[in-house]
Amino acid sequence: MRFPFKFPQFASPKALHESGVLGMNERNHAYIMRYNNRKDYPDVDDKLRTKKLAVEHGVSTAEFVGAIDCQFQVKNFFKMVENVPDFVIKPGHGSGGRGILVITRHDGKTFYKPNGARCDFNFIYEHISNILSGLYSLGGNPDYALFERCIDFSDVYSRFSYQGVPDVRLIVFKGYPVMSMIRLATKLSDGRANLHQGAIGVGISIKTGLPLFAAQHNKRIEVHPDTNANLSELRIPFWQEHLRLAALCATMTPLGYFGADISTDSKRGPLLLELNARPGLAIQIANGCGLLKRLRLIESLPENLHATIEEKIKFSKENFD
Amino acid sequence: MQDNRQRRLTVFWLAAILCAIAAAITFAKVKYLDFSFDDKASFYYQADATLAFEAKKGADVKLSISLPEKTSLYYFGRDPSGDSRFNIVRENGLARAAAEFICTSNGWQNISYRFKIIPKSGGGEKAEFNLPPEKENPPQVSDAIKIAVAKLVKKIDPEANMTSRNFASALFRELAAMPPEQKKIFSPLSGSSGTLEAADLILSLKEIPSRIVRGIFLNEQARSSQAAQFLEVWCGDAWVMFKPSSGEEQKPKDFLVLQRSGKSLYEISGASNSSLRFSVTKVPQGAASLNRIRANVIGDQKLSDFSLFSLPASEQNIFKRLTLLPLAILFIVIARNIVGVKTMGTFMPVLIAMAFLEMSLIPGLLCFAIILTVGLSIRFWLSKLNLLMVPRISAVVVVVILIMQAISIAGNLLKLPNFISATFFPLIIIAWTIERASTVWEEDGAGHTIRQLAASLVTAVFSYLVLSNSYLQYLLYTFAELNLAILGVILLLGTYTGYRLTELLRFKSLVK
Repeated sequence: MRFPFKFPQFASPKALHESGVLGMNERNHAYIMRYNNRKDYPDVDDKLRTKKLAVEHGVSTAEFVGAIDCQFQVKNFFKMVENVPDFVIKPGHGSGGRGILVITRHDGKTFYKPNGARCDFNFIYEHISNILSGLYSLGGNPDYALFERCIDFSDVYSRFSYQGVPDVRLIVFKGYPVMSMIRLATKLSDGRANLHQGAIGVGISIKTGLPLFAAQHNKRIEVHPDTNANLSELRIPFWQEHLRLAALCATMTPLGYFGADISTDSKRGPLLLELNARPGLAIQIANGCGLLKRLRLIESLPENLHATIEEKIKFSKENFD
Repeated sequence: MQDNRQRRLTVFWLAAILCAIAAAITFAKVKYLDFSFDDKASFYYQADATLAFEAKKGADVKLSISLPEKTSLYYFGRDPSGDSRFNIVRENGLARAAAEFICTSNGWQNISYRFKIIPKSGGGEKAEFNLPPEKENPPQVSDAIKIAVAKLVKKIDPEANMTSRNFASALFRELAAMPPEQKKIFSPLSGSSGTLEAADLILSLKEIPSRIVRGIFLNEQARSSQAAQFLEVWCGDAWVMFKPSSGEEQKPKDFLVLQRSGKSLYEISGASNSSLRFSVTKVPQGAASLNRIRANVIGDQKLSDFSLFSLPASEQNIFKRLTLLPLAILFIVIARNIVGVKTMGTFMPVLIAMAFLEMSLIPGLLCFAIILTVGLSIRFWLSKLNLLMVPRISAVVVVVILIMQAISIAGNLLKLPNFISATFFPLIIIAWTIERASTVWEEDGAGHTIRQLAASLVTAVFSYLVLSNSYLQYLLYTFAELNLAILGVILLLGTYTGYRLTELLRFKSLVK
């Protein structure tokens, strides 16, 4: 008789360390706590502030439509969006893609979500009210709702994503882009680009911008389960611009270790979606490669070795596959 | 880098100092207050020395009772519930309980000195009472007695070659057989006291050191008895105890020596017809309160103040729970940072475990499941009403309160006492758990919710097993300072940068 339960095979900590895998404790202790000052967190946690900083430093972002921060303005939201064909409502202090409502078209009465579902004025009214009451914000604090134009990604990644906007995540350490992946929404992830919900992570080589490795739920895959597209055929347009944008973000904020989420609009090119001061570790699985050696390499460089972002990008491209 | 190492070193030293303080206090408690690591229930003796006497109204009565000498077998100390008229005085290095008062009534009266006797763990009669006697001059006695003694010695030991031991035992046999009027020569007392005094006198004239020992048997269940008396005879290398009635050698068990080589156990003036009797009760006691009693008896108030025993009893019960909490929290730290378990809310499992502690495990789990299921379904229904967040969570809190009350009432009606304490669940935490579970459910699906809830429950059950361990309860309650060491370990874990156990699975594919 065979025992149906298979005891999980653990990797040895030594082998993981030799492969340069960064663990959660070490990420928090040696990188986030050390290079990210608590007082700088609003730079990335407050989306309006991030947007303002981005404009000041020449980082392109999605087109700003407006913001609502008190309940009595909520009923007037339509005035803000009546002249734009599509829009996204985001909580100002949201995280992990929570509370984001995408409207791809509307006729003044009916609003259409990316999957074609319709919703009415009241639905959007309630959604904004929920955002203001702090349902999606960190710690449940009162929040504001941010209105932006949709990013039109249709002709760039349409074969590779189920509904949601695919975005490129770049880990930036002391101004150097160190690792990258693109996150593709799936049916399982409900059209969202969150890896723990079942989105696909495809590691992208810093050097070439070509896909390295694709993983869903920590397991390697070759094709997109919903669109059947071969993931190795994925191409990131304007790769150099992605790197430049990510490195430029490091001038926006004193944070030393963060993740930059960049999406590509078919007309405007790469745009910064948001920054994250606690970027996740799943990027290592999507790359089939650990972060630790790359981070250690940058820590070992003398201060001010590379003064400009071009020099930093050049160093990253030479050293990080 | 340097800065980081410096900080790590600081944490390390801080943890080391905390552990050292905890170890030092624990050591002091064990060494000087004889706190026990063993949580076995034990007992102590409560003894009353009752002096009965006859006195007239207005008589100025002065009395004193000799108190036990230090011994390696027992701790003893005054019990404050006894008569408060006694003062402890010291005479020639020996303690006596003394009292002085004016009688307020005529006739027979009693005064009791109450004290506690606690057996020492692993104590044995040590050398302190086997010290050789000091040289004593033979007592001054009349010639008649001298002649009588010489005659008796001649009769017992005609060749004068017996050892002290054999001589003493033969002397007792001789005295026992002697008619009382003949014994009167050696001692005016009758009975065994007379025999003792006679033997003491004869031995000291023969220059064999001897002394009368008075004490009480602790294990005798007799309501009240006089002190027992023996004669100790120095047999060249040790004191040997003889029973006066038969001359047998004795090694009495559970015998507390009150006095060695004294005239009497008590002195009294201003009264007549006095007699001293003892009564001893054996009091069973749990290890924790025995530690407290022992600490009080040892009388080192300063040290025992460190322990929670100095608090009033009702506060002690609260502290019994509190002292265990750091251990459960350490458990959470390990579960999250070393194992990598994802729980719903950091300390939610510990608080749930505390509720399980009140209700015991199975009813607790059942109650938790009921509250969560009902709460979640009501929460899903509430989310359809599109309420603002604070009113919605408040509604959930109220619903949780109502569910708890319903369970309590149902438990009462169905005679299930464990369910009555359903109200011990931390309701705000439960309400937040319901809220969080429902948002996770909506966003990440039922699978994630159930996995997180299961992880939280498993952690709660393990915390419960830690918290409900009666030995750990005893240990951390008695040695509350061990929580300093736990604090140190938690600080140390704060610098742990190694992999979590779950990461060894998660990143397995990255091993080349």
